[in-house]
Amino acid sequence: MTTQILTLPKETLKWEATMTMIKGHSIHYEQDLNADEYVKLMKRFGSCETPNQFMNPKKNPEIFLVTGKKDKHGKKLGMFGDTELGWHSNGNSRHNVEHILIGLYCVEEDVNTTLSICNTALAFQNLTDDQKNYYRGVTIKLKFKNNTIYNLEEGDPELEFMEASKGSIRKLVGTHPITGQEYLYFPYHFIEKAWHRMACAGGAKKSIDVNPMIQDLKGHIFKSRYQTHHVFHKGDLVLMDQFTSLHRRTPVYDDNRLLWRIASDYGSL
Amino acid sequence: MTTQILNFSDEQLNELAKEVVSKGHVILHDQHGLTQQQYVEICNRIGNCEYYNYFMNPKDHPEISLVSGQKDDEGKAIGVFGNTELQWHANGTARHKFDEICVTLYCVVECIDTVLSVCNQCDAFAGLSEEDKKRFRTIDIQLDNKPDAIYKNTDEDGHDLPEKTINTGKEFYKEDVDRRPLVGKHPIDGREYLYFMVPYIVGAFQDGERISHEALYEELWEKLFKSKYMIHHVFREGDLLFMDQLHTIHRRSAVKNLDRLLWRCAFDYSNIDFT
Repeated sequence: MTTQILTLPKETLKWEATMTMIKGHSIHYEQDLNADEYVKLMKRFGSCETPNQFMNPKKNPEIFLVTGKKDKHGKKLGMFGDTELGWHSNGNSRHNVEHILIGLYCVEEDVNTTLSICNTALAFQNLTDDQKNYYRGVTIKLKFKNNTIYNLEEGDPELEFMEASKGSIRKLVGTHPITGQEYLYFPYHFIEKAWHRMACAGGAKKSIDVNPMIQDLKGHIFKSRYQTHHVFHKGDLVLMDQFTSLHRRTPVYDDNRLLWRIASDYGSL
Repeated sequence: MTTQILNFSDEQLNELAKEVVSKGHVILHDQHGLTQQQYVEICNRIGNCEYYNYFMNPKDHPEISLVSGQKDDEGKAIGVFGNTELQWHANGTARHKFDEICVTLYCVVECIDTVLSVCNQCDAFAGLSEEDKKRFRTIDIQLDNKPDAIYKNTDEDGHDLPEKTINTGKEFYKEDVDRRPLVGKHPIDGREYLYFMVPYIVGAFQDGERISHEALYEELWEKLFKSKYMIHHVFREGDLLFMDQLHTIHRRSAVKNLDRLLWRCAFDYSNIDFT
């Protein structure tokens, strides 16, 4: 029997959480969880997001259904549809991102759909010192933009949910609140503006051209060696730290694919 | 700068081959700009390469098979395996015996929506109950080529597909056996593996008596294809993957970017010192 993460002692769970932060993700196979148990597990890490939207089951509002499936009236049952999803992480355009741990639990699989995870802390670590110093001085303005990571039609409740965030201004290089690791915060689809504050010259702030910066960073970050790929099978649980990783998904070929997603913080650990 | 395989010493290459056998696969990133000549040289340093002169083998480097859904100006496929999903398989297809048990795939043009899944048949065997291990050791399987076994040609591919010119099956290979053990012992490390050559099993025998290969197929599918035995890889340009074809089996999702191009070589380990 594979070790069940739900029943791990607190210290071991803490270790799992730390490894998730450092590596950006962890994968746990053959986890036999019902919805209540899954919520219980994620609450062992911290408090969970519960926006009470169409994709949150009433009984377990911490769960977000991730599926392309629709009901008999053609209404979406879950979020993220069935198309390719561009690189992103949770809460990209929110002012404060507290729920930095995402759990994805596979209920129904599609063996042709892949989740790619990119470790943005490792990507930062491997920059030259000059590059690190430069990017540490960059501030970015973020706002959700439709038709970037995926396309949502007008009137779609998911679009309303995604557009509700006002956006945020934050440093391109963050320091992880728990491990202290530096990482690149690079949901590039949503970067609207950027400034660089020089350490010298009295710390003057200068607006910079976003597109060349994005192209340059894409080349540094999205390298094969920083990426892990996962094809979900029933019972797989992937935990991802939303500061030290970004993720993308290939198109879904089987609309029955269903993942349960929960976003939590690390407050209980 | 990532270590470049082109500069590997013999000792480093030995270590690499040992890792391929022990893990079932190894991925080297950022091996950019290999020429066909260099790629073949690397493979030949490990062992003898299989080579044919089919449509997908470049004339100057027949050891390489182009893996691509690309077509030429006349609409003819330039490589094998098209752009549809590929069922679980390994090199050696329908053969009971073959020597080229290492396969490499080198990415020339990527498609980030296509995933290669590799399943470790050796770990899967080790994870079986003792009872299952004993029973599976008494089973032989019979393999043969079946049309459309690992992928289906679409109507638009037409009937004069160049792939239909590839010779295969028991008559072509002139094998002196008609079956092989379901549980093999790897010639290098001696570890046991399940040889579940999914699309090619046409018969099964337990202690010499024919049994239902369909029932065996269902059972093996459940026991082998578990997420914990798999790794997944999305090829980026410059990635070089090595897979042991006895310890692992692989599949591929559909290809979206039709320009995707991999170079493939299959070879033995005859130049490696495993001592």
